[in-house]
Amino acid sequence: MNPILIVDDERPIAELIELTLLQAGYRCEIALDGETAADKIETGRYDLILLDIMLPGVSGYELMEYIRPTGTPVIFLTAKGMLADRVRGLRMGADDYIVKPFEPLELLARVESVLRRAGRGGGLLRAFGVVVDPAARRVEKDGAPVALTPREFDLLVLLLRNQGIALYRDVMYERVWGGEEEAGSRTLDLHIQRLRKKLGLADKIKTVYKIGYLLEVET
Amino acid sequence: MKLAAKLTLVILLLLALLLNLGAAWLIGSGFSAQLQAAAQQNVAVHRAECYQLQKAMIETPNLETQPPLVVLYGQQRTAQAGVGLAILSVERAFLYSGTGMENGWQPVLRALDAGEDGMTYAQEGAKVWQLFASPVQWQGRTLWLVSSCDVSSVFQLRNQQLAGFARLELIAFAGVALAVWAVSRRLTRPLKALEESARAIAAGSYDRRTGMTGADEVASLAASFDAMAEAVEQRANQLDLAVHQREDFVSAFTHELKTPMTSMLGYADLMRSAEVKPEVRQRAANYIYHETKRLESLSAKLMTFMALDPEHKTLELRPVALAALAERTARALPAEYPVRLCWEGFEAGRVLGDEDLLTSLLENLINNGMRAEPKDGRISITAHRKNGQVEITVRDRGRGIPQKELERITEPFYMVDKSRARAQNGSGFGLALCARIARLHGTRLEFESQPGEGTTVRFTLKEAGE
Repeated sequence: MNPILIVDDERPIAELIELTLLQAGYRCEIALDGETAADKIETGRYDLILLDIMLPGVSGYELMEYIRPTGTPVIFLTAKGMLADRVRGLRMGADDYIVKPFEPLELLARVESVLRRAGRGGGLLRAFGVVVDPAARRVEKDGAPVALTPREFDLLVLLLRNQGIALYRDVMYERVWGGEEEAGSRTLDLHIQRLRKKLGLADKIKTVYKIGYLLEVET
Repeated sequence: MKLAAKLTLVILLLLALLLNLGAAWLIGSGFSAQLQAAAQQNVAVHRAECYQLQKAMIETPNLETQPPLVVLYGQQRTAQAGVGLAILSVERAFLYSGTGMENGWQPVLRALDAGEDGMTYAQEGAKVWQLFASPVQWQGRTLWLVSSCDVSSVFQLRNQQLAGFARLELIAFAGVALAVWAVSRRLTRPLKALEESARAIAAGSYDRRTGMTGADEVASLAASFDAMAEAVEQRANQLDLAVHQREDFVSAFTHELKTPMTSMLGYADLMRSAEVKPEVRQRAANYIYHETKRLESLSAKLMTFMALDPEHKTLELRPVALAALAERTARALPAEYPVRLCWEGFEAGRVLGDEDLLTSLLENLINNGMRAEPKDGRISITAHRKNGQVEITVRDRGRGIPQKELERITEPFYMVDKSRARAQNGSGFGLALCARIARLHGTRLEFESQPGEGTTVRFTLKEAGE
C-alpha cells in the first residue's frame, strides 16, 4: 500500500490529519507548500492526496493539473464552503471534498470511502481474524459472516480504528449513540459484552479502569 | 400604428385637401370663363338671327300664318347660321323646330319662360346647349325665336381637365407616399437601433452603446443615451467590484477563521476521545493554545479595522508634534528590536492627525519593514515639510515586493508570502489597517518597491499651524 500525501500549508492541520490517519493504520507524507507537493507527486506514488486549495505559491487548483495525469484520487480540503467552490473542485476531478473545520472521524470515513471507490485496497479493517468492511457494513470472523446490530457494528468500527488506544467511555457513547449517556446506564457495557461474545474477542477488548475500553493491537 | 404610417397618412390627407381645392378652383374658374365667353358669342349670334327673322317678316307679310314658309325659312337659316333654331307662334305653338336636340320641345318652352334676356341650358347625353329665346315683332305681329347653341366642347374640355388632374393626383399620391415612407423609415431607423440597444442593456449587456454620430436630435438623444449607459455601466461595475471585494473578504475571512478552528477542534477531539501519549498530548495542547491566540489577535484586529471604516467614521484631527509621534512609536515597538530605526526630520513641526492612529500606522509600517529583513539592518523614517504639508517616508532595504502584488497588498488578508507571514506572526491585516488610517487622514499610502532592493512607503499629512 502506498502512503497518503497531505498537502496543507498549515502545519497544525497537516499534523492533525497525519495523526488521525496514522491511528487508523495509514502511512502518510506531508507537503507544506505547493512546490514540495508538486515534487512529491512527480517522484512518489500515492494512494490518495488530501489537498488544501488555498496554498501559497502553487494553488490547489493548479496542483490538480499535475495530479490528474497520475490518476491518483484527490480529496479537497477547503475552508470555502461556498457551493461554487465545491462545484469547481469536483469538476476539476476531485473525488470528494471536506470543508474545514472537520472532525477527524469524518475525515477518516471520507478517506476510506474514496480509497474503496478507487479500488486502492483501503477500507477493510482487520484484527484477530475479524474483517470489517465499513462501507458495506459487513463483518466476518475467520471467513464466516457475523450478524451485528447497527450499534454493535459502529462500536466495533470505532474500536478497530483506534486500536491500541484507550477510549473514554463517554466519548465512545457519544460517537455511537450520539448525545450524552445517562448516569448509571449500562448500554455501552452491554454492547461491549455482546461484541466480545459474538467475535470471540473477550480477552482482546480490555476494560481500562476509570477510562473506558481498549482493543489490543495484534502482535 | 407605426410612426412612418402615421406620417404618410397625415401628409397624404393634407396633400389631397390642398391639391383638390387648388384644382377645383383652377379648373372651375377656367370653365366658367369659357362658358361666359361662349354665352356672349352666342347672344350675338341670337341677336343676328332675330334681326334676320324680322327682316323675313317684313319681306313676307303673312309669314306667321303660313307654317310651310316658316319651316322653309327655318331650314334655310339653320343651314346657313350653323345654330339650332326653333320658331314658335305667340301662342307657343311650334312652327319650326331645328334645335338639334332629339327631344327639344321642353327645353325650348323653358327658354321661353326665362324670357327675353334669359339663358337656359339643355342637356342630352354628353351634349349641352345654351338656349336663348326672344319675341320678334313687326307691326303687331309676333314670333318667338329660340336659338340653341352647342357648348358641349366647353364641358368636354372641363371633363378632360378633371380626368387629367385625377391621373396626375394619383401619380403624385403614389410618389409622395413612397417618399414619405422612405424618409420616415430613415428617420426612425436610428430610433430602432436605440430601442435595440436599450433592450440589450436592460437584458444585462451594460457595455452596449448605440455608437451613432450626427448632428440631429436623434443623434443627440443617442449621445445622451450612450452617456447614460456609460453611467449605468460604471455603477454596475462599481457594485460588481464591491460585491467581489466583499466576497473576497468573506472568503479570506472564512479561511482565516476556519483554519485555527480546524486545529482547535481536531486536537481537542483527539485529546478527549482517547488516552494519547504524553508528547502528543503536549503538542496538541500547544497547538490549541497558539491557534486560540491567533484567533484572538485576529478578532482584535478585525474589530479595529471595522471601527475604522471610513464610510462611517470621521476623525477629529488635532495637532500632533512629530517628535512625540516618533517617541511614542519607538516606545510601542519591542525593547529589543532586530533593526535600527533612523528618524529624520522629526525634531520639530506638527501635523494634523490622530496621535493613536498615526502611531499605530507607523508601527505597522516599521514592523513590515522589519519583516522584510533589511540588508543593512535599519529602517529610515523621514519627515519632510513642503507647502504646508508633511511627507512621511518609511524606507527599508529588505526583500521588496513584486510589482504585480503591489496593488493588492492593502486588501485585507492579502499576504504576498503566506507561510513566511504566518511564521512572522503576520495576519495579513496590517496594511489594510494602515490604508484605512491613511484614508481617514485624507491621504493614501504610496508604495515603491523593487524585489531584492527594498520598499518605500510614503504618505502626506497636513501641517498644523503654530
